Amino acid sequence: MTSIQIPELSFSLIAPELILCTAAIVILLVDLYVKNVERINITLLALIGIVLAFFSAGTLYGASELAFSWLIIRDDMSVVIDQIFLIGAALIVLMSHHYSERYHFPYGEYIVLLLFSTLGMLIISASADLITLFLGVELVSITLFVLTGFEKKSLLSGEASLKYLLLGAFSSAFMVYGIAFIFGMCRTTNLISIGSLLSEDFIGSPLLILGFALLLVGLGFKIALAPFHMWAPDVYQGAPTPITAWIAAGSKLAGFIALVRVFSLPDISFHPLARTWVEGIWWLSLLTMIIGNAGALVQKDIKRMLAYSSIAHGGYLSMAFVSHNDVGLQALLFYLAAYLFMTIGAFAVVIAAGRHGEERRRISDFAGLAKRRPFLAAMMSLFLLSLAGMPPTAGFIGKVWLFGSAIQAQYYGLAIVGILTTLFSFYYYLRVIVYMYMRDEEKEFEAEPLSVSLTLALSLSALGVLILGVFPNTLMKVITNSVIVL
Amino acid sequence: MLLTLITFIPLIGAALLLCVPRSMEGAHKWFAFGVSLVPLILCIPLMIVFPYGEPGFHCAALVSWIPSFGIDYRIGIDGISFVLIILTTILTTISIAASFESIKEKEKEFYFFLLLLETGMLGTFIALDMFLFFVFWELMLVPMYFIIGVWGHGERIYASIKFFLYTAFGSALMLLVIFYLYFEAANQLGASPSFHFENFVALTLDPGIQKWLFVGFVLAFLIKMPLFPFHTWLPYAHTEAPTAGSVLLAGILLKSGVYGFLRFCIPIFPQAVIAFSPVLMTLAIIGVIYGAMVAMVQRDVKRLVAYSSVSHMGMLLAGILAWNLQGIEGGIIQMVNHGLSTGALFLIVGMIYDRRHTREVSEFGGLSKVMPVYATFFMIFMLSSIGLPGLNGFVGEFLILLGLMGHSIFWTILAATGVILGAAYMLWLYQRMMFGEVKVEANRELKDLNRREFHILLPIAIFCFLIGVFPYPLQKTLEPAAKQIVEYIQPHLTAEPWLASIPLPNENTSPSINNESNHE
Amino acid sequence: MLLLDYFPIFIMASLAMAFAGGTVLASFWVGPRQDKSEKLDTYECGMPPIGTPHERFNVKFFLVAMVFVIFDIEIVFLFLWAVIFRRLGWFGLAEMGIFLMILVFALLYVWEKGVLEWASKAK
Repeated sequence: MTSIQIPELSFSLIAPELILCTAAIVILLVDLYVKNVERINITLLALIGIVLAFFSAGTLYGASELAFSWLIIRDDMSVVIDQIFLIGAALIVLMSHHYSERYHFPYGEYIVLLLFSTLGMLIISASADLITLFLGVELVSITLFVLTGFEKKSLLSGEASLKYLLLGAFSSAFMVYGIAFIFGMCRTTNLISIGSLLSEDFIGSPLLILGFALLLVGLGFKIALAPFHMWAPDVYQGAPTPITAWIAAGSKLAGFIALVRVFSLPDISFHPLARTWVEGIWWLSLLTMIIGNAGALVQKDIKRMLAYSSIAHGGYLSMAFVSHNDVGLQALLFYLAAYLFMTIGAFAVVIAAGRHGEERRRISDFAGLAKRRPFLAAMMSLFLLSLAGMPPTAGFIGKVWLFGSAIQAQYYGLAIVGILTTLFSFYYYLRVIVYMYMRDEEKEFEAEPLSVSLTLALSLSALGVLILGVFPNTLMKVITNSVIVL
Repeated sequence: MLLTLITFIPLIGAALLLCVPRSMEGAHKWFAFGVSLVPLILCIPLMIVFPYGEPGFHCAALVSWIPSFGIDYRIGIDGISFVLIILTTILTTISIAASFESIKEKEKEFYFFLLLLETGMLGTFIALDMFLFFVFWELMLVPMYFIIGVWGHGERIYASIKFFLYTAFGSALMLLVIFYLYFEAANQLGASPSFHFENFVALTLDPGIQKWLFVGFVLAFLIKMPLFPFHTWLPYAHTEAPTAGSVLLAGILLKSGVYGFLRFCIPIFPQAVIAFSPVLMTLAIIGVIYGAMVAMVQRDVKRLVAYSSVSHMGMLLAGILAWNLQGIEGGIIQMVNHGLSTGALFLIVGMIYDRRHTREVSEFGGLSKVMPVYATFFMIFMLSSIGLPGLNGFVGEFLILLGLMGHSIFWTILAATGVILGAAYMLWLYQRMMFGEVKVEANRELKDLNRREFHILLPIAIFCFLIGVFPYPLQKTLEPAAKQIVEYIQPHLTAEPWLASIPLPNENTSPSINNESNHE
Repeated sequence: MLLLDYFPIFIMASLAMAFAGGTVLASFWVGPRQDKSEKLDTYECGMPPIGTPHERFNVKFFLVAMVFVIFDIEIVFLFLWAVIFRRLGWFGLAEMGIFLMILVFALLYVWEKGVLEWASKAK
């Protein structure tokens, strides 16, 4: 009997994933066997795991390797993305710590699921194979289905969870179906092999196009591109607010990274197929920007409003795939980072503005916030102005970069629609500010004081928004370098 | 370095202001006042350093800001920006002082936004990098939005949102054009791309595309100016804003529109500017007469002053569009004059509003007996706004009319009509408010100006007299910059048939552009 | 062309679908109908129906089913592993150890949460 050649296993390349996974399992066991464990300890454990993963990811810069029989790609882009995810996860953990005080749900399991969903995101960012990609997407989705329904007593939460599950499963089916077609035509699921196959003479097979189209539809559901966006407002509204933030920021980011991995393969860019996708995404982007912004105009619930705003942002972001150039990809990565901070920040304010048993979710509930809690109102204004794209915030630089990429690729029409819909968006973002600063509250509302963890989450997000807005160069340089490597 | 200090000290001051605890009532306004004095005082060394009469940009500085994108912190000033910077620092200090008693709630936020606004305004005037300019340009928007919306009167929310959306619409299109030019510059000049505006000036743009780019670009400035059909936000914003907001809006923000037009539009799109100048001229003159006529029928004093702004700004633009040295110089001088006199008129209105909480003209009458000092100041600024010889308004209007005369007698006559109408509504307003018997009982008890108010108005009045009697230094400062603009535009002006006659918007415009581009 | 090889299957599938659909439709159109109230009533052994026709299963059935599926899949991996166990050597043992350990954590979790106890309080 000959011994089997064991493929090289470079565990160091997936150190962040391993650390995060270990942290999740440790917390699971601690929660099981330590009696009456303090919530703060669980939070600290989770934060330690995230920070360790963050730094271990930092050591991987410049690795640029394929590992595990080409299942995993560890390039600089994946490292940047990992770090962005981990920062986001840390902010969400901080928010959840405050939030769980208000709603007594099993905190340990909650954090474990949160960490596993982060793990799924890290897997997506490092996947070089459709199978790994799918694994990551499913890990993110399934954990989020559960987390969405975590407020067991709330009907809205249950409804959201069920909707999310059904549509999520539906979209996963699309994805698998697409992957099957691609595998059928290319006889491989490895993205790099597919790329090189396509660059030869695999042109124009309708089944292949169908495969990629189905994949696009599947991922379109995950990132809520119109017309696959219907689930988003209900789910955003029903989910516990930190989870809403994580769906809006993390899961959307992950979906976009998956799209980047599939549709920006090095060899595909010049492929005739690329034109077909670009055309498809052009329409999706246009539709998403219009529907998202129009929908947000009429919302009365702040979480629904932010949901539609998040849909609209999906439209802006997918512009990067239309322009299909380096600038677009860089802009996408930058904007994702910026978007993460401002969205999480905005939802953190939503949490902070409420109190136990009475979350203030109507936009009119924000009336007079500036007088009562000037810090919160100022923070909210900052995040909303950043979402709207006003300088000197991260949202401005990101949006400018994205629209710039569309102009460079000579998609003037799309850029103009983008700008005009942004103008619409000013209206609904400003409406919240109008309520906070210019109207008086109807009745006195004594909100609970800010906890340390929430203050930390708020300040960090605000810091992120401002730093990326005023001194964007550090992140820009990292991103520019990482995209060249790709 | 000096310019940077002047620009960013208000920002730092604003940040520090946030640290002043809310419980220290009354400290915020003094703190803000102190902060706003610093750039004002720093203007003195600037005035010493500034090389008068020399063309080009001075006090320049260049720091790389976002190198991977070719964005620099590139600043510098010429005569126009120099004058506007001084005007900004003066008016900000004055409007802070003017808010001491009229702003009673959320004082901390109010002064925070005022200081933030000052940085935005100053930055707009010093930026030479288009991206930097855009950042400052947008930075003006948010504080002013809050100032109108939070501390305004009556329909403040409607006014503030209208102001925001109008201005944001313009600047959004401008941003797209800036990016087009950026990539075009990268293509044409080959060098590493940059947002330096002189790179954009160096571009050769296809006339057809240039026209579209110009339309996208200039809208931002026309809306802010505001030119006639885009002016509808202004009466609301001016009327509903608190006094300080109105002063800065009229004094500086409207000027920033003209400034952008002069600084960027003309050099970057000379051919398109010429091609569109008949249209712009027509709109400007319509604005002059329309603004004056609407002002005449207003019952609200503040609204009247607001519409007079529309009229004056049209006049100012008409002067620039004469494309000769007198006209352009007159236009720029009028920028300063309008900032001083209209700003002062808003202060005057604000002071009477603080006392009576109404701005209806019919509520007043015979005030000159009750408040003689107030009446005197009112008269000075009213006459300065009309353009009485010996006061600043005369210098500007005279130069503008002179310039227009060299351009077309037709427009001169119409513009002069505007001046006459201007005199009519202002004098009528003054007569109704100040002379006659005191009809309303409440007016008998009114107190005359207190010391604070007196000292706010005094410096403006002094400036009005100084410029009116002795305009030479101002003219000398502005001359190189005005000449520069004429030089940009002159090569494209050769014997345009429609420039001398009554212009029709669509006549001959495109062929003449084509001729132009063939020269190059 | 790769697709052409599948053409017979396509024909077969079409025929099957056509037959299935055809018979259903044919009986729908051709068959006689008597829509009387007795005919449309729910039928339960000749008795009037008691309760709702859908009875809800106890949630524990589902939990057990899921746990079963998870550990069943694990067996699938173990089979393959066992076949080439010798050739994999120590490395294979270690890898499978890690794999099983993770599953053991899951089992512990399920156990501690009371899923395995049928009658008692589920936590």
